[in-house]
Amino acid sequence: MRLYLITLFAVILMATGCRHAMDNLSTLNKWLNNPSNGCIKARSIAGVKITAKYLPPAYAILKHTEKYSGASRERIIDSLSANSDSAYTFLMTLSPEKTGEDNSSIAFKNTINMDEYAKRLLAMNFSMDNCTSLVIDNKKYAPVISIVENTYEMSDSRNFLIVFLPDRSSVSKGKECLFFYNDPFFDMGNVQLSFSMADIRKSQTIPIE
Amino acid sequence: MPVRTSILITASIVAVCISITAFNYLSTPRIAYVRNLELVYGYNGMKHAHEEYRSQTAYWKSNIDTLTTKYKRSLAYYNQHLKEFTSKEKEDQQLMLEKLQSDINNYTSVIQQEAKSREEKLTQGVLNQINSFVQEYARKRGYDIVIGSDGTGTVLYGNASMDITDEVLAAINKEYKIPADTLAYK
Repeated sequence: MRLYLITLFAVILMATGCRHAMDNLSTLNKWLNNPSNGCIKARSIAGVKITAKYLPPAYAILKHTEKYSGASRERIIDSLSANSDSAYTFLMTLSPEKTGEDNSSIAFKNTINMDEYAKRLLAMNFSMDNCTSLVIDNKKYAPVISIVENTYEMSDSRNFLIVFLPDRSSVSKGKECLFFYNDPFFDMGNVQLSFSMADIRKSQTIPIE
Repeated sequence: MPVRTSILITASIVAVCISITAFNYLSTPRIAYVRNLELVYGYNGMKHAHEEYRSQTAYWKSNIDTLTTKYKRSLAYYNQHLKEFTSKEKEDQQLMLEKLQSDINNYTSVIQQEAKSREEKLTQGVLNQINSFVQEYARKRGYDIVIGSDGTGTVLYGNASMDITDEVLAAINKEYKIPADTLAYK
């Protein structure tokens, strides 16, 4: 009876303690999109929804290895995992609060002519690094890369990949990570989205298979 | 009258009373008010915006100070050597002083416009953040109307129990932390 109880306890411990390994991007995205995991934060201001999603190294690794399988995939995963640096990548999305209406695209919102639209697209493509910053325990970092993922897409939202390179000491000891977006387009002001460093560190240890 | 019948009648009356009370409670709109100015100026986002604006204006002012110092030095040099200048040199010096004075005036004028536009943009952004937050807050807590009590003088009196300024301020500041030193990149 005692052996049975110990075995049962061990099985329960294993079932609850083990983390499910991610083997594809959609599973990882599902996990990242769950607000309870703390990797996605959103706010709606003046009819515009801003979402910032932290993308852990596993995201880049799975994206790069999507087309591979078997031993070559394992080798690439091992190589990329060993070289995963301290870059902090965020996917920032700007979208209208109400979607599906005519001309509801964020690229057109509040623009009155093609000239303004062209200026906005130019700013979205080349000046977003001036509008975003990251603060980890009172240290402010400017982005090292910022790119638009879908400039000419027909969807209402626009996605921006923004990469920061914070100090290793901030990353390992920090408690809070504040993502700032100082909006130049929609009068949203300086928007702050707060992430817990514990949640970010947890997402960095997601096992990949 | 049998006991059972009287119990039934009493229970029915109680049920009707409860229903009427519940109906009245549910059909009465939930109203609250906030003290606008305290909410706006107590919001961390506003404090942060003020800090950014102050930092930017200090930078502009330092540029104006540099131009003014340069002008003052040139003017002092001109006055000091006035008797030694030839008429051509005197003319050149005067032209240079006029240009410096004009530069200061132009820069000051542009900066004043830029400062005004920057302040309006910062304030509008903060107000939009507060408005959107209050709308969401009211929706989640079941308020039908939230009134702003000062600033425009729309509410002359409100019972303190309907004042939700402090709780809204605490909730909105929970979403916006002011970093101790975020003005310069590390």
